[in-house]
Amino acid sequence: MSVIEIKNLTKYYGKFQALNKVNLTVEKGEVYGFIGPNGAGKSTTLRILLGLLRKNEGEVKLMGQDPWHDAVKLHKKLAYVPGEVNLWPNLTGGEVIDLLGRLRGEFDIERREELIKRFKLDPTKKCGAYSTGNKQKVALISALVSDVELYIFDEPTLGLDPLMEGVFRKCIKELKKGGKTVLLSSHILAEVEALCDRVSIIRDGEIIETGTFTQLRHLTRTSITIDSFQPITGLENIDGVHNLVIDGDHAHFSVDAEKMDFVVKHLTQFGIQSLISTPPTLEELFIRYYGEEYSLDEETGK
Amino acid sequence: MSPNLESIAGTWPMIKLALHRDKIIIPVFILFLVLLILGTAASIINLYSDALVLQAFYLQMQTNPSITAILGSVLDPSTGGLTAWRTGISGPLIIGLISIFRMVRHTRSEERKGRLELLDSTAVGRQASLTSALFTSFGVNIIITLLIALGLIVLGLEFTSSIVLSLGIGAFGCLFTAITAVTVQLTESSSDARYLSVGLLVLFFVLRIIGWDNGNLKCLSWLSPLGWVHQIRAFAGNDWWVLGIFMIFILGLTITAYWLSSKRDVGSGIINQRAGPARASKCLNSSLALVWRLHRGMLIFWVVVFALMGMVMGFTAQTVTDAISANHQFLQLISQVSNGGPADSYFALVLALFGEVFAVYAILAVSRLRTEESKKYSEMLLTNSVSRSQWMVSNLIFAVLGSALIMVVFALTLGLAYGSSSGNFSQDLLRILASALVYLPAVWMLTGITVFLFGIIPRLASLSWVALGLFVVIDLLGEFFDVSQWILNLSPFTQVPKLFAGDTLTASLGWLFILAVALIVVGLWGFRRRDIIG
Repeated sequence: MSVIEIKNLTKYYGKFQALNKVNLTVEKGEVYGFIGPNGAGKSTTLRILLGLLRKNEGEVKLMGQDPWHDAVKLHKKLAYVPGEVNLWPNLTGGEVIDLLGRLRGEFDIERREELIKRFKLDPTKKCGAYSTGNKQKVALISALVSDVELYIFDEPTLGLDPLMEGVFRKCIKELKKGGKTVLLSSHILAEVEALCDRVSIIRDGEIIETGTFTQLRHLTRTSITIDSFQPITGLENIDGVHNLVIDGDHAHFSVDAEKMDFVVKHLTQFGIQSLISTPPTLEELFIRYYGEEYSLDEETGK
Repeated sequence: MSPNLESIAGTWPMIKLALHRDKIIIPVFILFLVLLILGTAASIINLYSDALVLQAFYLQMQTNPSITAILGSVLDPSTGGLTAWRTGISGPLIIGLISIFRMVRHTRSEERKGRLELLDSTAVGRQASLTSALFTSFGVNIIITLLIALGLIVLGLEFTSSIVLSLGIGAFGCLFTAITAVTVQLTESSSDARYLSVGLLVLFFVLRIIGWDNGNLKCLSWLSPLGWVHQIRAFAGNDWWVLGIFMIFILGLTITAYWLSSKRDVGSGIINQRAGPARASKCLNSSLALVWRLHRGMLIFWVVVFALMGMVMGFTAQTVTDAISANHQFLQLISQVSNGGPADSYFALVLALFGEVFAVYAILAVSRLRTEESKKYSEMLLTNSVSRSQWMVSNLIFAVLGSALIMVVFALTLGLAYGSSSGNFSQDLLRILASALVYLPAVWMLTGITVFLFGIIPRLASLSWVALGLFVVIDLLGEFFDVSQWILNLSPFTQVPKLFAGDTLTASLGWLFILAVALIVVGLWGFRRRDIIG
């Protein structure tokens, strides 16, 4: 049985369609990445999964149950960290960790202390006095302290410094080792790339790609830089070669995965002095799917 | 923000930002207060245009100690004098509250959210936020003053006195702007600053009542700025120099605020918050326990304030009784309308005035639900093992039982204080308690309205304040105008039998209760079905 099973999920906010026939399946023990730019529908999907929002159409099963009707039962078996953490300003971080942990059931005190130490959190401060990053830490510790089946993180490292990001990644790897299921939404590709087994890419409320990274890379172009002994010719006529720049015996271009074999064979006839091939990063994958719009978003910092 | 900001760096953009954020709430505040005061003036002018009727009303008010104890004495038997008298307490209280909330919102709250740090780092001077908050708050007070003065003059009241009356109210608002400018420097949390300022406002009100004009502690009234508003004697000689006292304090407090602000770090207060416990107490393990933790500050504040208020009013009741007993004519008059003792009319008035104040608590307590939802605190619980109903009910317990508790404490201290001085202990206590408790269904009606809005149309949850404002206006109208009964009936407070004025229990009270419960149930049902929205 899959831990998360979403079929044809559709959600409207008034007339605005936030999700359009979203499909998503997460298996037990998997670390699953859910990526897309802001406003694509990541949080909406997660919030439906948590029973905070009602779906309009489709089917959603969480550990075999309905997240809307069986919310309380399900919530005892999962831990969730929202993207934008807001905590009661009059409670200390330590109090919040205890409260949320106790509500979910029993938790290990030693584990709590260990996490506080690892994340370097001062638990005696009032939440109102914490910075964004520290609030994030409180929420992360509150979730990680519980021994549950499923962990859901919405943009978990948004306010964390790189050092703490490292601590978080280590924690996720430990969860995976322990056989836990993790759903991680993010728009930081390096994070997803480092942690996740499979990913789904969402855009404008639609899932546009799902698979392992290897599978996804097959869909993308490798970028190649070559120095040859003789001037290269004929590349411009090959289907699947893009962004070609030739300067005598030096060339730079990108090539579709399925044309790779053909292109390399073509290149050998000119004599190869040096050849650098770079695998596509998720950034490139993103730009390919999101194009202009994505680069624009990055610029405005949205 | 424009780059050329060096001297009073960034004050102007911050003023614009503040005005933009308050573009709805400022006009609403101004309109509410100005209309309330001008409405009162208009109704007085309309009702007492005849000199004889006016004289009769004046004598009736002036010789009724239960009224002068709370509202002060009427200083001049004219429509202007009556207007000054009738608005002399409510006007300053409302403008004071407006000033407190706006100041806290634009100084300490901003700092708490860390937004100020962001602003301060981008070439905004360190006093810019305080300056812009003071500037806009003084500005709002000045606009209110001008509009009231203009309105009163247009209504045909005497020119100079109209200006004096409005200046008194405006000066009170500016004073509380300056007071709050200081309190926000002292405390680290915005709610503490708010409590401190509102606490002072309550203290001034209490001092004003203890120092009422016919009492023996008249001088105490001078310790309260509410007393100063009275002593300005608008329409009764216009003692301009009293405005000087306001000016001195406003100036002094503003300078103090700047001095304190320059001495402290961003984010901290003069009284620094201590670190809290690293572990939660054993009891903090349920939604109800958390709600108690979050509500208790406000509940205790209200209970203490109204215990105090009840005590003060109870002791005052005795002097009121004495004054009434000494006035044979009046004694005869009230024995005709009610068969109770001489203090009865006083108690009836006190309860009628405070019923609507308790409704404020009922709304505040329920409004927490919406605040917690929109600030996304509730998400942490609702994605945990707390069900929606559980979360809502644990909050409602405090709204429903909390308002009852405050009312009972008020009635008890009122009764005890009066009983201890009258000697007729048990009987007075029971009567006061009973006449207070009949207000509960009306108070819960406001709880019901707020819960209903929260469950069905959460974005409009604050409309319950509009509803309360409407009820207050209806009750005021009923006081001065011959309003048709069906309009009066719209207010739940009209349905409450005034037991001290000789009313008896009616079925409509039961209906009120049933309606309140029904609204709460529908609200609960609606919340279980809707999306959680930020």
